[in-house]
Amino acid sequence: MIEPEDRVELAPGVVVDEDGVVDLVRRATVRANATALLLLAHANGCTIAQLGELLERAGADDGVRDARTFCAQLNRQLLVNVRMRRGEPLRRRLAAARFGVRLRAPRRRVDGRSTLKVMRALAPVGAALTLVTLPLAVLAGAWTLALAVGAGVVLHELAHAVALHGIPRALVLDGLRPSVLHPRLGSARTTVAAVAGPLVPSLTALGVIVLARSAALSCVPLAAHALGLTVLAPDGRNACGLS
Amino acid sequence: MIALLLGGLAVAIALSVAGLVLGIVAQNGDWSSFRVAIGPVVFFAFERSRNVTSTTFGSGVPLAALGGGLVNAVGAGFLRRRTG
Repeated sequence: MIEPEDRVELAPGVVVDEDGVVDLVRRATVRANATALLLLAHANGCTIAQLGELLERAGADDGVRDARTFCAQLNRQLLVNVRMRRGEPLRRRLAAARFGVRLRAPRRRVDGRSTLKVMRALAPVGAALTLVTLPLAVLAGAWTLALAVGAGVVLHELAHAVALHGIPRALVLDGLRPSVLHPRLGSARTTVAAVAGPLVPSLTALGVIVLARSAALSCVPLAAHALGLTVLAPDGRNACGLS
Repeated sequence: MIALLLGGLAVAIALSVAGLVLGIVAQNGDWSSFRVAIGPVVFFAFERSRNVTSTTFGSGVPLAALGGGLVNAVGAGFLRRRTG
């Protein structure tokens, strides 16, 4: 998915020092070799092609290939963000889909220090989910169902973020699947943070149904978040200390 | 214990919303009175009289919540053993 014209930058909450890469959100230090440190030191908006040239000057045979591979790996570890031109991820996905290949867009780590920032980052995800589910909802005769799908995901992640107040956190956008990154916590705080996500939208659904009966059907997607409390879902497993 | 509580809560919320939605749909759709039950255990009862409709939650809802909690606790125990 990553192309030479894409720009690479350190993810928010990640700094490079002489020992390696420090992830302030996860409170962890990742040891890195000299080449990795060289690349990360220049991950400040440079393109993959420019990083490739840098690697070639340091002795790599195919710098661009190495830079792409390396940046993809760092992106999987949520240490760097890869910025593409607007519309480019969709164009690349469509181009790959013609050959039956399913591409996965790079994950994006967003500064989550304030709840407002989390909400602003989640808003496009909520809007996209609403648009994606809109045709089905319209077919079902209740367009507000689509709105509830988008709002439910926003509410879910926002609840996680609020439950993690005072703790370093970052929002991770993996396509239309957002999640909240945070350091390892004590068992009680882990349970509270994990439970908040599924509980808030499902209790909101109950409240809305009681207050506005006409909106009952639209609340079903919100109520479905309750299933996230069980061990079938990652939040339920986290709450039970199973991960 | 947490798994039992969370499983119970999940089933309780899901069944409460299902019951309320069913009641509202039945009311708007002019459905006649009905009960959702397994044998003597009633989950929801929708009743329509001349001017009034009512949806009642029966003992099946807390029982199902308890069952859901137990299943979740068993699942958590299984996962805990598997992950060591």
